[in-house]
Amino acid sequence: MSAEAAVEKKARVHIWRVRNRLKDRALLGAAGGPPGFDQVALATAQEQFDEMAEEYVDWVGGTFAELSQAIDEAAELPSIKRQNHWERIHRIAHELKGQGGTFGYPLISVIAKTLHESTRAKTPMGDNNVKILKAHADAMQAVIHDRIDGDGGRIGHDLLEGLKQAIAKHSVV
Amino acid sequence: MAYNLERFSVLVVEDSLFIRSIIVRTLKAIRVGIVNTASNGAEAIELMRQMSQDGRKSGMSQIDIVISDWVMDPVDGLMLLRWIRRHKESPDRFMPFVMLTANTDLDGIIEARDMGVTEMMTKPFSMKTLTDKVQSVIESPRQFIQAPSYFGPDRRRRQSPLKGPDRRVITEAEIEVHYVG
Repeated sequence: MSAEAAVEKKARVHIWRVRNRLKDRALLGAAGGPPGFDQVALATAQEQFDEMAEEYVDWVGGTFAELSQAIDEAAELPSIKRQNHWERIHRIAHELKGQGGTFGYPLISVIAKTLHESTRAKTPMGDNNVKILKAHADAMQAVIHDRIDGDGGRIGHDLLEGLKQAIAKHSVV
Repeated sequence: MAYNLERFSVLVVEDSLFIRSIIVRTLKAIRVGIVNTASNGAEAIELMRQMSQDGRKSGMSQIDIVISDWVMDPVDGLMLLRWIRRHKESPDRFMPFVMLTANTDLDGIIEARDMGVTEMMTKPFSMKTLTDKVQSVIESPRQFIQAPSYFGPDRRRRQSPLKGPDRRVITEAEIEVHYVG
């Protein structure tokens, strides 16, 4: 390829350097102090966050009711007809996984994670598997009922251990 | 200088009302001027279409940052991101996009990165994580790369030695740099 041809060759990669208008705007009329959020505003944000964490206990009751209903309904069906319920439970588990730790209940996230994995596509949907899902739901309800926040210390450890044993028991073919 | 975010507009896309509320309340607390919401990607796209056609009707004339969940029906966060980055009706293909996800596996992160995500935010999250992501969008925007198989923020955040072969094998003549704004 000649030098002229190389120059005329259409660019394969375009690099776009966009002016940082967001920062320009953020600093327009900004108050003094170090760059970043206003400290008072951040403290207010933290308060709002903490307040909502307290409300979470009430809120999650609705999600648990939905989960229990899906598990109970699945239990009533023959295993080959449980697919829709499995998907519903999988979706609820995903939601709980993201919420629990955000609002001070990381054990909810831990338990919801294994519930999420237990309801992935192509996981078995037998009666024992339903019992495993039920054990997860019960464990999460215990976390909220007993307000086991953080890692829950000894109680949290025992709760997870109990869940593990339930899973092992129902996993035996 | 403490930011003045009164002229900022953020779109929060999240199907969980509770998570959506906490994000909105946090953004309002740090004094973001306009916070709009959508409960899934389809609603967000519709809102952006309305915004392009008639800003007053949609309640927004622009969106500075999108904070979106990944798993949603009928249009998820990844499809929304794809629409923003690639669709001809997108109001701003350079729009900063923060993806929220409870999915922490590497494949998922790579998938979002290759679709042009700006920041990933893992659930569960704290107030600090959320405000740190917003600050990162304000303070550290990256140049955009438009290649045959990619459009989005430069995926190389740091100038560090590569562990494997450099796959960017192009000559200067094949690169065109554009300055916008």
